[in-house]
Amino acid sequence: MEQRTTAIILIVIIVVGVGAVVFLGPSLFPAPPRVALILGTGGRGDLSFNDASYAGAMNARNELGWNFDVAEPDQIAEFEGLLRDYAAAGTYDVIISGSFDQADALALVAADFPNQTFAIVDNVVVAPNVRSCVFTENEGSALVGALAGLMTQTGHVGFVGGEDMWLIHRFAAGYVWGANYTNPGVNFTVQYTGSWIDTAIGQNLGDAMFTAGADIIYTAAGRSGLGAWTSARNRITGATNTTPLWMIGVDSPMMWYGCDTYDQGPGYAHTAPTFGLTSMLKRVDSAVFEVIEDVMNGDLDSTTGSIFAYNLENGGHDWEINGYIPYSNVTDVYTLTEYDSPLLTLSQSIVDTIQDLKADIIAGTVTVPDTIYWT
Amino acid sequence: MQTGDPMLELMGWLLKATLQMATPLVLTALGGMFSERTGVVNIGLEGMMLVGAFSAVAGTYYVGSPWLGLIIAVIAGGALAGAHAIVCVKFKGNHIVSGTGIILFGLGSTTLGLQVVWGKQGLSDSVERIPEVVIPQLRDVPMLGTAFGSLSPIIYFMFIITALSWYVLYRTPFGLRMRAAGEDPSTLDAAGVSVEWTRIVGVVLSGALAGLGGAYLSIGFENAFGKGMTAGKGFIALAALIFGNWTPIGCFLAGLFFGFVTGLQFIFPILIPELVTLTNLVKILPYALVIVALAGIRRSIPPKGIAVPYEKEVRV
Amino acid sequence: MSEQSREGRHENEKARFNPINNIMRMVSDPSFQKTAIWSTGSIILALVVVSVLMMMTGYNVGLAFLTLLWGAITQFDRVLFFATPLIFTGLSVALAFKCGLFNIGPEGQVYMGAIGAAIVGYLVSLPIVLHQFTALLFGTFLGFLYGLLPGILKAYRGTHEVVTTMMMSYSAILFTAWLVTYPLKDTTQALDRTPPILVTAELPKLIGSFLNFSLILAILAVIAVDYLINKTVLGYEMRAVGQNPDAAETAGINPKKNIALALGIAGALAGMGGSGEILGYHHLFQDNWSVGLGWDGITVAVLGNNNPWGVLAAAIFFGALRAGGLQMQRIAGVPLEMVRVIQGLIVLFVAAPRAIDWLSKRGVDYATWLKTDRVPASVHLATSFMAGASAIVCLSVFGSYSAMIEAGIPGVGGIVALLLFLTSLVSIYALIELLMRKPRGLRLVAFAAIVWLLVAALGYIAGSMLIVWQSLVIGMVSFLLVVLVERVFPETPLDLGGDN
Repeated sequence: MEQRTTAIILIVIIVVGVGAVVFLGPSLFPAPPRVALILGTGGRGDLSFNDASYAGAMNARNELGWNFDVAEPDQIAEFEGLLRDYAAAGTYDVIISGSFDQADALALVAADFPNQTFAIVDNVVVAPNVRSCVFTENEGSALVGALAGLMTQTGHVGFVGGEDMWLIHRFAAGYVWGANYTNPGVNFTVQYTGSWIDTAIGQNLGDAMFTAGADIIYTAAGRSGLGAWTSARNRITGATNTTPLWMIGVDSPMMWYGCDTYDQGPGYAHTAPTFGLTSMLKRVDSAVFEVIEDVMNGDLDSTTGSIFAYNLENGGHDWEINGYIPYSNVTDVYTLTEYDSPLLTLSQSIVDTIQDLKADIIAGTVTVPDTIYWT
Repeated sequence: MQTGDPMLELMGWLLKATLQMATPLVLTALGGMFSERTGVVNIGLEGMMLVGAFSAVAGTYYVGSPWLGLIIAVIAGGALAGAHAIVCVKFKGNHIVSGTGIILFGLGSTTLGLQVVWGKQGLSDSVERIPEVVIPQLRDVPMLGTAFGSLSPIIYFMFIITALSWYVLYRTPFGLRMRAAGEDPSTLDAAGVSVEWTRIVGVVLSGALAGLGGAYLSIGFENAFGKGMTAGKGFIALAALIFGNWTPIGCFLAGLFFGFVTGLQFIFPILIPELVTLTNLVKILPYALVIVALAGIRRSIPPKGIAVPYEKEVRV
Repeated sequence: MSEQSREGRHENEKARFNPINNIMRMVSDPSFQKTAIWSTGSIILALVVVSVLMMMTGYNVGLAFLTLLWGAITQFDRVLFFATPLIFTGLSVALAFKCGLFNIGPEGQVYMGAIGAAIVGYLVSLPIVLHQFTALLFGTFLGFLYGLLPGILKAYRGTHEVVTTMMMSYSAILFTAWLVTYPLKDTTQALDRTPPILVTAELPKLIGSFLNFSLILAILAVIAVDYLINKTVLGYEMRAVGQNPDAAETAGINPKKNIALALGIAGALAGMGGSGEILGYHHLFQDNWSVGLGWDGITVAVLGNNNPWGVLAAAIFFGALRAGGLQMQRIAGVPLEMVRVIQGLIVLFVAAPRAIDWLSKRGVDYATWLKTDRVPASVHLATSFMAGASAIVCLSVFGSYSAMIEAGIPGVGGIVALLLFLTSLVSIYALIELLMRKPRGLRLVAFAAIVWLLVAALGYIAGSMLIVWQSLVIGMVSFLLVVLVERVFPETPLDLGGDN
């Protein structure tokens, strides 16, 4: 009998507790900001699109004063739920999908919430309330590839990609095409780490390529790409190479990572020398920033349903010249990595060659392939 | 210097990559061996490696010396293994349950630790790494220079620890006790030695070695900690342990074999560029080779008393 | 009242008819009570540790737990949706365990099942029901084959299943990634994925946009596995082989056949889980479509004690943690890793059911001691509490200390941080020793007190008055308690309780 009383009391307590949590809980939740950002699986610290879109939202917070909510799911199956939660809250002016694999989920949710504005980076969702921001990685990669073709002394350039997949193929295709453009018939090696986090594989791939005779490596492999940079650093400090070795960064300016003071982080006033040759800039952060800025100015709703292409022409892609980021007409929100003195001194003729190629690509006189076009 | 035949250099590099990839596996597998030979299953090696890798970087960051960071990693790995030991030996819990708990805890806590220590997500700041041992006379020899000219000291430790483990396990009374604790604990108990303490020491040793293996990844090979950076090496080490039939020399050879086949997958696409569209299939090769080799060699026979909690006979 | 009195008279007969009484009987079973208390205790202990972690990382603990709970309760459809694949993989691991095998690679079997279902789903054109059934069956069959191969290797070559299933798991992920990048790629779009499956192959949704028919399949699988293990000859043989292969062989059971079949069926279960996910929710196979279902399956299986119904409960619990964790991240900003830590700690604590015997023994000891000698016992108890508090405060201060290091005093800051961490470890050890009533515990508390005073001095140099006051108070109180126990009540029977 005593047990029954205990059980009844317990049940009452549980029911009251659950009721309190369900009905009174939400009143304790903090007031949400007006922007929501959903990052891709893998989360921050990937030195790629997740970090970049987060940086864009942070810049918007610092400059425009709009705070944002961020979610970092780790399964594709979680995207839809989060999108629905944000949309159902109804308080967000815009919900930004920060990775290409959210397109399926976003297409469903955007149809269910026609009054909610969305944006997606790196993919296209055809819906009247979604702004799609796409990039032409192959064109940006062609520029750094052309520079690699000019700078290589062994006539052999390398590429370390994160995974054997369509997005990375665009980087690889542009790079190889660019190297062949300035240095026809150049030797090239394309390899994939198969992991975005395993720096050990990146370092081994870098080592293998350098040993096989490559002297310039372009990495597009998130954190595991940094392993290849370590490989170059070891070879240079260990003086195991007579020819100079170069690394090419991706997405954000990364030439500083080749300086001796790399452990001070990106904000530091680094000085030459560096073994970072250049970086292919992909301004995901500007895309995110512009979305938030347009919401603030009330321009977003009139432009949804359209595709915003970020390319060489509007500064969505560019290359890092001697540690400087060229001025672009994309809103100047990047923490510009301008050093007191240049990190590198490329000769003017080389810079001109690349800038000419850039002008040609913009003018459409040359086209850069966006899939693996050899083999 | 890059003067030799590129093919020869590449072979030299393969030797080096074998050592580099094998070192964390061999160290962790040896750790697992100490645990399993004393009768405690340890599938939590992955978690212990992660904690080792993280605390090596955090320790180096706080103290400023990578060598002290290495010691901190060993202590941290041992401490986490201590929790496993308490659960498994003292409270006679299920070894596999506890091991999975250790893995989850290691994964989550190290990622959170990044936030505690550096306020960052996913990737830590760079720290000083353990300087490599350079042999100047060897470095200019064509192939051997690439292979052995400049190696991390932990790779040399790995050889020493393998030899030491063999000696301890087979030539000292303590090793005899460890083996007895795994094979026939009641005899050990009858001889007046505490089975519990022998097992606890074995498990803590395993954590310390796994921590060292993890530290090699973060401050011996790389210079920072990234979320989930061991990428399943703890499980591969577990496989190496089974492949090596729970013996020190076996673990060593199995680890080298794993390292070699991993290195091989990097070589193929360089030698044959046409394989680029088959990259993912080439990456299967190491795993397939391991299965074929293990199926072709012998049966795996684990220690008899493994996973069986030892109950002291109680006289009433 | 009348019902209760009747229950007293015919307890046995009523039990058959009254489900409430059945439950009551189960609840009053001491072993069930012990399990329930310890499971709840594990969850509470894990949450306590996690709240310390949250304090260290600077999150709002109350809001985090509120959102976790709110998400887990209100979004039950997502809870079940996240639980569905875990039920399959958990069953897969549990079934293999019953036969004494450790299937560490359900991840790969899930991937093979998923790709199989996707291929049939988009390549073959069949009428509804038949199409779903065929796709599901093909996926399950691929999973079966993928489990059978290591089973055969184990049975006939003695190749350890941990190595083979793990290696095959990695291989399956790579192989399917290659398939969708090249031969099976939907060439009409840029992304690497198969074409979407035909509408006839999609499993119907139950409620909302998540929960689909594969949940029902999962529950059927639980019933089927329960029946297979406990009611069939095959299940009996598998369990016999799992307990002792040699004895089973002398009893006329063929262990080889059973080992191969057990891993095969385990693979089939995982494969069915993968097929269900594709046919029910994803509707196409893309690289990276799921991560870690297999690994979580292992945890679910061990947490459910390899019992099919236990697996079901554990999977739902994990689903609830995931759904709640996502809300915790969305609203309170706490990363998902916190959920992983909670899972890890719960599993770790659940693994040690005997800890409760140990703890309750201490509790009873303390209670009797408190009755006989009230004052010394309460002082001793206060000292134990102090050790625990010291450990918790140490950890949380250690966390907030990184701010001080960033303020530009790395030398002192580094030493203080290290000292704090060491002190917390010492305090935890002291607490354990004190609970065992060993004199060493007292000395350790004294040592911790000295370190606290040292931290106070260093905090003064570093210029943080908060740390100075905190450390001074904890240090002085600890000292006072130690002196009280040592000098004022020297007759305290400190080492009488040590029975280990």
